[in-house]
Amino acid sequence: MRLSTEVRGDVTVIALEGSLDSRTAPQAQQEIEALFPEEGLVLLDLSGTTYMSSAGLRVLLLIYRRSQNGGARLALTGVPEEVHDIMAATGFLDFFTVAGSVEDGVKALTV
Amino acid sequence: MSEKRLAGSTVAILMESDFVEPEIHYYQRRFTEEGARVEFLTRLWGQESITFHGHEYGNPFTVSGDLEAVDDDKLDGYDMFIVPSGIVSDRLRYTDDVNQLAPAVQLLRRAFERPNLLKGIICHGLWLAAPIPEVVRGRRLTCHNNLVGDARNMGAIYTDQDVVVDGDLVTGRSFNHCHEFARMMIDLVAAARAPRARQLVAAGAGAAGATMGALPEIAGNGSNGHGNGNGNGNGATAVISGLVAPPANGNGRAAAALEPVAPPRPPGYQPDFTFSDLVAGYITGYDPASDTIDLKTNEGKAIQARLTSTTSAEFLRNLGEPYVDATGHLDELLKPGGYLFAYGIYYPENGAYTFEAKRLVFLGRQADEYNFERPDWWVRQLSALAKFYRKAQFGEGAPIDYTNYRTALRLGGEKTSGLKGVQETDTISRLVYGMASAYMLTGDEDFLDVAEQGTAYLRDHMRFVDRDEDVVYWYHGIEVRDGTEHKLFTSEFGDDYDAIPMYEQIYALAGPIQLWRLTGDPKILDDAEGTLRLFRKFYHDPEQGGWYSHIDPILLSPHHESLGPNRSRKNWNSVGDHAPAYLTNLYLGTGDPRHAEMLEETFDLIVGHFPQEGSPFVQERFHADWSADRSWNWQQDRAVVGHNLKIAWNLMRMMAVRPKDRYRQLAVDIGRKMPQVGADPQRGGWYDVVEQHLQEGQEVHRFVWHDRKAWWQQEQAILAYQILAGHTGDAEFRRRARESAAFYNSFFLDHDEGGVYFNVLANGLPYLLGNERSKGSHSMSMYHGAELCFLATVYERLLLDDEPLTLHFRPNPDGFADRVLRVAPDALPPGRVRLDWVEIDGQPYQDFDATALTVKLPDSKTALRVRAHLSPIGN
Repeated sequence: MRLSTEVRGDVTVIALEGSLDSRTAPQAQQEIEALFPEEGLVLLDLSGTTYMSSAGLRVLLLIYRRSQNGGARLALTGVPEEVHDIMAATGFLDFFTVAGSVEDGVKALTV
Repeated sequence: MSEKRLAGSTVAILMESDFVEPEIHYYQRRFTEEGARVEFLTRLWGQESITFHGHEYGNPFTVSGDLEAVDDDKLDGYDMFIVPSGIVSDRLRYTDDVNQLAPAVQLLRRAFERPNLLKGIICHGLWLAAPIPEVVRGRRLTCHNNLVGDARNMGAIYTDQDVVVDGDLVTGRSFNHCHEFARMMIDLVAAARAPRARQLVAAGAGAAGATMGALPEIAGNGSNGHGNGNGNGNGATAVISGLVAPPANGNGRAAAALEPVAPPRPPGYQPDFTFSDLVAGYITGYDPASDTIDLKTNEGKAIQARLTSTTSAEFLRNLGEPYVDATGHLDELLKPGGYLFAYGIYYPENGAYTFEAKRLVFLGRQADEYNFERPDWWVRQLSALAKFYRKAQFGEGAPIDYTNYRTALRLGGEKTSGLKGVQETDTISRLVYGMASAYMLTGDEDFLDVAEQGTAYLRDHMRFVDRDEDVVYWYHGIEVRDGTEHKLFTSEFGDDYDAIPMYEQIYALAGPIQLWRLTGDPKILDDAEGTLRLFRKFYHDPEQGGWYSHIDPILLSPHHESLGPNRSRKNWNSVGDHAPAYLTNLYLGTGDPRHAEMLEETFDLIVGHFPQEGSPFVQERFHADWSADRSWNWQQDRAVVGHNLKIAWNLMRMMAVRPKDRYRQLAVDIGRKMPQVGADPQRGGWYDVVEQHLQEGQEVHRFVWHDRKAWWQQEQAILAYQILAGHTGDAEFRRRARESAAFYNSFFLDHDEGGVYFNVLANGLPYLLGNERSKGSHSMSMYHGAELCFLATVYERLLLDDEPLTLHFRPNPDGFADRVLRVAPDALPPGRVRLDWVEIDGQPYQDFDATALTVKLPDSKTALRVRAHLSPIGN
């Protein structure tokens, strides 16, 4: 599990690579929180994730809640099909802005 | 101080062989020194006298007083009655006929029937009370350390002190404390004989006790443990007696005692200003000439209330009923035995207080009538509650739309304004519970609709199906902002922040499971099984038993450091709350032995780990290894009164599932102890959170934040004492149930806005500030109020009053896989209730089991309407 971050215009893009499961989730959670700006726009790029377990989903939920409590706006991109299906089935896909690509995500957040 | 304080009084002391020489010789000299006549009594076995020998030195001591010759007059002439140390009590409790009480035991019982006679029991003397435990039940006492278990088995509240005063009973630890014990006895009798005390006593006891000169003011204080915390020996009794209202000057009845004695201020603080307060009590007398009512409180204390020209009176009324004035009928209503609440003003004057009542509430029209024992009282209340919440959340008669549901409701049921609104999983679940229960009792399908749509909403919006782990868990809730939803994944409450508390998962099941009992909807059962897997896989401690209170949201581990003070902890909620919230109902609906096993584990853990030495309360929080956690957050070393009562109630329910003596014992034990430490002896009702242990110099368990009374704790008391009375037939439990229901129905029903109040002050006035003003919040919603109405109906009718009960069910076509509908409304003692008749879609139906309380449903393509009529089986 590796994280990287870059700033595109007003948007902080955080990219996740590797497997997000119960083993890596606590670390990922901490690192994402550290990279997360107090306010502004954040795009979480999941295109590099190879696997996401329910623990990974819970990380997304916590990140999401953090954004709700703070002043940040959050969007997802590169959601793998399998993860997309699980998020749809568990009913929380609707609560994220999901974009097809990083560019679309940046656009969606800055509109 | 050369005056003889006991001049003219008589001290009776029981004697036998194996007495403790220094003790007996000390009494003989010490009481004589104070001017008392000391009379030694024993069983003479037809002889003139008997010479006994001491335990330590074999000293001889000759006794000629015959305890069998002590008639009532003679007994009335004693001022003290002492059971000494040594083997005296054991010898005296010998009885040749095992069906008869020994003469000394009979005499002791007669002594206890006289509240004006001060009883003293020291060291092993307590043995003599063993055949008549009712005389010490619920009372604070001490005894030899070897007898602590015996004291508790007698139902007494063992108190770890050298000398303990409980009203007309003084106890001492051992003969080594005979001097302190004797001094306390002397002080108390001397205080009672002092002129000022005599005046207050006569005034306070009113007509009933105006002639004696001894101890009722002490008797009034003692046995409740809530008298007045600032006492110091004599001062304490004087302060308490001061709170007993005297009659007005010129009241002929007690005038003789009202000599113009200027009372010195007793030590300690005594309010010298007017204040208003509530009194709850049984009428013992009424004098229309002087407008004076004599009352006896729940704990037997005498109080006098005066009526004024502006005193109003009303009858207890239910939600939805109009005010019914009683002011014009006082003469007929103020009959002995009737129970009433009097709210009024205390005036400090003439060295005491005059209490003038301004508002009276009568519980019924006759002494033995309690409006809340009418068969339909609780059903109507439940229906009114359901209508209140229906209207508040969705409008009256409007379509049920849960997107409009809001957890926060104001006092009148309005939703808080603004675009932001939270929908908590647990408050919806609790609403569903209340609505499903309301349907079961009334058959009103609108309530069923609210329950079904609420359950569907929970499933669609609050449920997380974790496919990796094959478990289901529930979001804390969702927040609706600008018309869109935002999930609240982990708890939003300070106690549980950023964790998944067991408590919330448990209560997410409360509503759906209650609904499932009606419909058999298999989707509900699937979710419940998934949540139970969550409990087993992640919360359960397979090594040391029980369930952890919190897990972290990422790894679902109870041991993760992010949990902070909730790491590796177990508590009452995580261990015990399964039973009341959903598990008993799940077992009732399924009959599945797995659920009975889980219940059994729960209650075995409670009886195994919760009771503690040195406190009348259960311990509620634990580390993984069951050692007590006395440092957690707000709980520290504190007890929630309602949790103790809830445990007693649910242990008794468990007696109908898998009975064990230890369950009953703990339930009865809590039921006996709680009134002394958790109830308000003066005003009725039950307190909230108190310190578990008394500090040095304290006699009353301290309130942690306030002395308010919360609605849900009253519920626990009512249900606990109803079911205890229903199982045991014990009149004291029945009385407690009534007194608790009287307070709840008199002060918690909001006749102006609807619903019930969250908290009232100690005096019964609603407390309407901050969160406690709300009607829909976490835990409030429609759960406890509805559960009370539902189960009070069941217990009152089926276990206490021998009244039948008709229940409504609405099984789905695909519901109840085996097509067996289980209609028992609660865990009822086997053989007490039978299923009389069943009706399906309005037609009589025969395929049911009258003793198992089950209906074999017909095959059907539509949902059925089932009515099941249950009757108690007479003894």
